[in-house]
Amino acid sequence: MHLTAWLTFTILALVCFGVVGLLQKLSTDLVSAEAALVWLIVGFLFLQPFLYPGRSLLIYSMRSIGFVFAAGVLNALGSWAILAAMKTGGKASVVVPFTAVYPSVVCLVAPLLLHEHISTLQGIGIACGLAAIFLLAS
Amino acid sequence: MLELSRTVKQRWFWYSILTIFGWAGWALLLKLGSEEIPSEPSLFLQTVGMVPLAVILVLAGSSRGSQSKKGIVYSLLNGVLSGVGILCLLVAYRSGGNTSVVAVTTSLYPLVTFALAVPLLREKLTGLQILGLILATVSIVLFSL
Repeated sequence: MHLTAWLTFTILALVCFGVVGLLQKLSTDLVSAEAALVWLIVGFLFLQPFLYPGRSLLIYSMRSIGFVFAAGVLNALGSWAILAAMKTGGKASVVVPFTAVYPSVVCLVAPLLLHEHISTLQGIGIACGLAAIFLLAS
Repeated sequence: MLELSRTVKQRWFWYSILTIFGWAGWALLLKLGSEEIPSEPSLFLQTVGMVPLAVILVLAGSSRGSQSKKGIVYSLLNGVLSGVGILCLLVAYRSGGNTSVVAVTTSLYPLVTFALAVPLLREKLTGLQILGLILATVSIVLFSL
């Protein structure tokens, strides 16, 4: 079997994100959610030298920089909250798929904020996501 | 219904809701910012945006507690693997992968977690939770179409 480059990297990303869900639970079994988040961010920082574009980032507008910076703040907040959910008794096999339905919120807000259109399929997806939250919480 | 009312009283449920809103805001702001900024500098900047919360937690002393070396290693791996996962996603897009196919495949990551958590952590799911897992997967796939 020959795997194309894009498929190989897609599978690698899938496995990485899947293992992350397990590591979140394993880490919060041993340290606090706050300590787990701090070390998670340190782990993220290890990759920064590979991501740095090698030129000033000030060539971009402050508005865009502000949006992406704020995105990072919210990513950290979301990461802390999922670690806290696991620390306070949430099962990895429930919390991970539960929180993975966050695109439901995006689909509800995007038409208002970004003037994007919701397709019928996405509408069904929102309904499934909300039903999933209800069932996973049961 | 009784089970549900019991669940909404538990802290993990509300932390999960906070995660959903935090990551929804992250996705929206990243979308707004990345209209001008390419992927790699975006990832660099968003990681910088994660640092203030870490600094606040360290200064407030809330990151102390049990300093299990194993727990720290798991957390470090968590950060590295999250970053590597995002990088792999970017490389997949740049290597000619169809955006919808790549998005659908990678957003099925809860299935990998589920497949690992059940045998390794000995977690058990009820019939309704399994149905919820299936619906969450259907929902994620539909968003990517």
